[in-house]
Amino acid sequence: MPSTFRTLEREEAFRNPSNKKFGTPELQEVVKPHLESFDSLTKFGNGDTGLLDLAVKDIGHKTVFDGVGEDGLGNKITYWIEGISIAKPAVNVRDTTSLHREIYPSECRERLITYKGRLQATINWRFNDGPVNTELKDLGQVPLMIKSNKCHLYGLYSKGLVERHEESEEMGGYFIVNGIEKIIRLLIVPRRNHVVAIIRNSFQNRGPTYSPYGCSIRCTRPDQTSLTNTVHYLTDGNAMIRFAWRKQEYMIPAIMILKALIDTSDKEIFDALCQGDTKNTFLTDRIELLLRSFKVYNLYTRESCLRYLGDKFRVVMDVAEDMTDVQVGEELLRKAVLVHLKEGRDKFNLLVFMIRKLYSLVSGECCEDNPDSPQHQEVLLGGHLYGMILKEKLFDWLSSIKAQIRTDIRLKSSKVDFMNNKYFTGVMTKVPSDVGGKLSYFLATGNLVSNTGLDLQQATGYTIVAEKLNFYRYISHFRCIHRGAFFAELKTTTVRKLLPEAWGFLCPVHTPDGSPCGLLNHLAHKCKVVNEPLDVSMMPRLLASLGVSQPVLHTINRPDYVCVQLDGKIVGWCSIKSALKVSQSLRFWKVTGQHNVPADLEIGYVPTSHGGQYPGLYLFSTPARMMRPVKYLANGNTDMIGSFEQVYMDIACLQDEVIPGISTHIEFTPTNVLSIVANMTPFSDFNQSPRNMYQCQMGKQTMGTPSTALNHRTDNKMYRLQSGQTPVVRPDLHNLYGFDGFPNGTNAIVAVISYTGYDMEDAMILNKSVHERGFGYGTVYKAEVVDLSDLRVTGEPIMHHFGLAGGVNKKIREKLDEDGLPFIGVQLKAGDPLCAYVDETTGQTIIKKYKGPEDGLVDEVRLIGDDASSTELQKVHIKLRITRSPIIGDKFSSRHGQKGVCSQKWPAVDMPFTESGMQPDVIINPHAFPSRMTIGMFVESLAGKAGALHGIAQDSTPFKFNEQNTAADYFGEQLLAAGYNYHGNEAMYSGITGEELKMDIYIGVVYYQRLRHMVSDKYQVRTTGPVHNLTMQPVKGRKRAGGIRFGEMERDSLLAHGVSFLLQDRLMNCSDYSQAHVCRLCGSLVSPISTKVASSVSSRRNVECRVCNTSKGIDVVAIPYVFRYLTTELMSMGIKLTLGVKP
Amino acid sequence: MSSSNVIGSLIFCPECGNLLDIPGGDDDLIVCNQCSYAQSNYEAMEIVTTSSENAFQSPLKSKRHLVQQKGPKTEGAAMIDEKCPNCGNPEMAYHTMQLRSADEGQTVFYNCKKCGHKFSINT
Repeated sequence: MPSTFRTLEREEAFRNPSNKKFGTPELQEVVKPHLESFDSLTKFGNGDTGLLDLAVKDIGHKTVFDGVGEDGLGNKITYWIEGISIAKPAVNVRDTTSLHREIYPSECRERLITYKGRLQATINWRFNDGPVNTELKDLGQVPLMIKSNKCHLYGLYSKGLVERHEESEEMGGYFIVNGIEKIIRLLIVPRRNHVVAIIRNSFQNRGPTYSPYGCSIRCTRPDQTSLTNTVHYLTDGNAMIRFAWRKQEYMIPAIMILKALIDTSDKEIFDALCQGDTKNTFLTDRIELLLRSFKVYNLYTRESCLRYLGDKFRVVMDVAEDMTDVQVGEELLRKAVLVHLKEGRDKFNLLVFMIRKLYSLVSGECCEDNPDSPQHQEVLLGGHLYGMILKEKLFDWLSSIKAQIRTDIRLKSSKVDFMNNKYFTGVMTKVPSDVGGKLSYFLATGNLVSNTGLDLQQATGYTIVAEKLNFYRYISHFRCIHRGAFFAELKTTTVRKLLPEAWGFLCPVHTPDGSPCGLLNHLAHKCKVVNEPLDVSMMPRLLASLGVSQPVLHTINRPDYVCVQLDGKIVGWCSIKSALKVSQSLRFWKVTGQHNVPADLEIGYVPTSHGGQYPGLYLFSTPARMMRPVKYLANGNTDMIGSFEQVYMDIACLQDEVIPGISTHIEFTPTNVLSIVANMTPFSDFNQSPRNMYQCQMGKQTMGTPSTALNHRTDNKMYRLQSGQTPVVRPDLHNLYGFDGFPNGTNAIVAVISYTGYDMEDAMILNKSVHERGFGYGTVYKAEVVDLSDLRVTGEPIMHHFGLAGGVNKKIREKLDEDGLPFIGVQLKAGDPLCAYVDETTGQTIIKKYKGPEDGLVDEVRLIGDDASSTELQKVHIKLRITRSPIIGDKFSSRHGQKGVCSQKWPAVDMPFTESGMQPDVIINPHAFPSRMTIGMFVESLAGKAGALHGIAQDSTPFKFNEQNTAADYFGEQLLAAGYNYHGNEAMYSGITGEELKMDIYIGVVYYQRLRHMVSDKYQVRTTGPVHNLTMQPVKGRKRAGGIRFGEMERDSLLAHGVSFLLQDRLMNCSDYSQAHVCRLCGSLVSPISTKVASSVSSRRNVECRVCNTSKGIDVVAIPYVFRYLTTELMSMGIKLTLGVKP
Repeated sequence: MSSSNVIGSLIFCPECGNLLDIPGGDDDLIVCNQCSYAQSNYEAMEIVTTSSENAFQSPLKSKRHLVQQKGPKTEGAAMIDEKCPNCGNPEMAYHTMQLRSADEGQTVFYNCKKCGHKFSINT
């Protein structure tokens, strides 16, 4: 029988990495949302336009007038960005020595620099209506995503990647900023171009008569920037439109916008809002009020409305001075009202729909939409956010050019000459143009510096460090999706709830417990985030052929007709029955690929209901939606379904749940709803659910294999498990995601027995021999960076050189070489020299000492040059290796949330043994199970034992067994076949007495993880040490050899025990005991002052009270030092503190 | 005046579609202030207003309804034999919540019905 562990295949893949494919292509899918969104900046869909090109187009032209001449405005200069380009990372242009000009990511990691490429903009300008001038302008270097189409690793496979010092399965999807890998974290945002009904009490704060009712839509422009419009219901029945422009909110009557959008009449607005439903007097009353209340403005035509708006918004919009009010009004509607639509007619129709939905919400015909439900959510992708920021920075750059010209005109108008091209190019050089630096700042800090706010709710926390602690953690970074920092502060827990709508999109298991619980979710492993613009040009035709009316005339609609929308544009109306037919036909065409209906189209059919969701047929083709595959029962094909449509679909989970005539889809496998890490828990369906959550956390804290290219990594701290094994018991997906390349633990023989008493309260006993054989043997790599350029002021000549001057003692030369750097492999103790440099001014050798408390071995020394490689070595990176063999106090865990601390390393001779002479590697206490109910761990033990005996890898995918076909039977038979007890029990003998234990012991093979929490990093001990110089109390902090606070609760506990005198010891003698002089007469602690006795015989000092002018009442008392501090503090406030001192 | 231009109390100008003001007082002449269309045969018209079914709820009808809605939950109705530490009342209302980690015990909130004393205990 061939090995089920695929050992040879893996070895072959590692020896000869392929140049044509990846070993585990599924891993590449994991980061797709990040990569594709970044790629779309330069290439969105087919063709050569990217999001940046669209953004530049949307920014448009800027105009400045010089005010010269009679007509007031004077000469005009118009300028705009024509195009934008990003270059691949390359060596500085000033460098003349490099043969290969590309910079690869591994170089950036090792040199602790940013992986960035040059951003260039083509800027055009023209004087009045003269010829167009062009110049290429450098806008700094922008950080680039690894493996994106702007990266040198693009299109490379395992072999090429290994040659360029990357992992063989490198996935990319992150940025390198100052040598640190950064990810833009996915964020939940409201679903774009979809109207949601909201009841929110805070709406009432918008102004008088504002009600809690509103209809909101997050509109997205083609360049993925967005703007939210909200229609508010006023208590008098009126409707107002609210939008934010540059963080400022504006409210406009809905009718004014409707009239400004198209040439219309009251009658048409009435017909559109009423849809023939004249019997509904609730509706008609409100429409009448809308129309009548607008009469006070005396605006009848479109032009007059636009002029009115333009007049009010001219300053806000910051438009060219020569634009008319009507043009400004049009600009406002274009830029701030329903920005996802181009045509005024479409905007009109959608706004009418919003008002109708609002009134229906108010009347109770429909319910509010839940903004916390994934149905109304989509994902803010890293690339899109990057594009938004870039767009805003480009806009700001153009604005600052305008501001500069205006300043020039104001200060020295004679110097301003628009006709001279030199003037404009001169202005451009004056204006700061480091757009790239701003993006680097964003990625390095995660802080969003923005004038517009980008329609987002938070300003910080956009980026995270991709920690390579182990592979589970690393991979989770790419799949995690945050609800938004704003919701973390909310007191209500509703946003954290796991909703049924999240099924299949967000993992129900993989969320941390504690403060981010439910806010930080992870994508289910089969969940995709679509990122391509779909071709939906055929949709209007198809819809018409299916009987959907055109949205041209409102009078033909009947009251019971529902709306058909495509990406927030009303494409027609039809009866609810035909809407169902349409959705069914479209779905069939979509799955079978007929009529070019795209596979990622979302067909959201919302049926009519009594007070349920607002009905209609909503089609979505836009990017950033979460989609997942399910099987279409009609033909067995894959259907990609979205989070909106799923709510109203009938998807069976297992085969026996299919209801004929109702079910249309079935899950491919139930494990599709779990995240990658949650899927790695063996037999998770046997466990109590919180245990699986804990395992998802602990799996990410395990000391594992962070990387297979360790010698090219420069992380500050890296944990590595030296003796990693492939688990005997693992789910199918373990292989699919290639986790054998990154082992995370060791298979251990585990006996569940209460043996020595050292296994209480989740402590576990390690067999001393197994630990000596390398069980859980780990290493920590720490980096020390020495940068001599920190010692000198920028611009001054280099005065410090690595090296040893003469006269350095022999002890130091044992550790350091002539170049001042440590020998590779040398052992450093605390206080040993780490490196040395010579200060040219003094000629002295300065030794930099190794501070760490633990002994380290010098693993690598890296000499880091500068960009142009023109200066002397000033920066070194020293990687130290610290060995961490397991010791008492280290933390271990099985894969079932069963963590424990090693309490003893028990000698092998004293360990219990079985009939066959087997000894357990690990002993855990049976009390770990009853309350936690991690049956999965028992099953794993059973399966592991059988697998080890037969030499097979056991599949531990959840939901494979059931009541008829139990796991206990399946693995029991295997054990029986190997000659072992069916139930996994074995008779054991005491290792100490040799007697047989009274009970059979459950013993098997369980995969154990070593967690990164180790006593060596945590132990804290202090007898005496540094004290705080204000209070004289011990300082805090392990690093400073501080004490541990004996706080109020500890005090309470001593009091409750009746040992209050211990407080004297803890709070005084061992803390800030001090002696002080006090004046018995006036009771003051501060008035006693030492005076010099005027005597030539001795210089004895005398203490006397300044108030009583005598030393009679002076006594010495023992007080805590802070008490003296308190008295002086009180004194400074004019409060006198008096002590009553009695003998 | 064609009937499509009059919907309830709304009268639209047949010429330009503008909503016409309802004349006040004795004057029964309606003039469109956009296109100066004038109309004199304004008569007292009949306006029918219908309320939605659930505007005035009938308890009889609501009993037949498929979805039953209950009033706000009576808070902390559960009582337990626990002496109030404040006033010594032998009975206290209580409710529980899972506030801490899922593997730890629940938090029990006690509320004295007599003196209003509140406290909580982690079990």
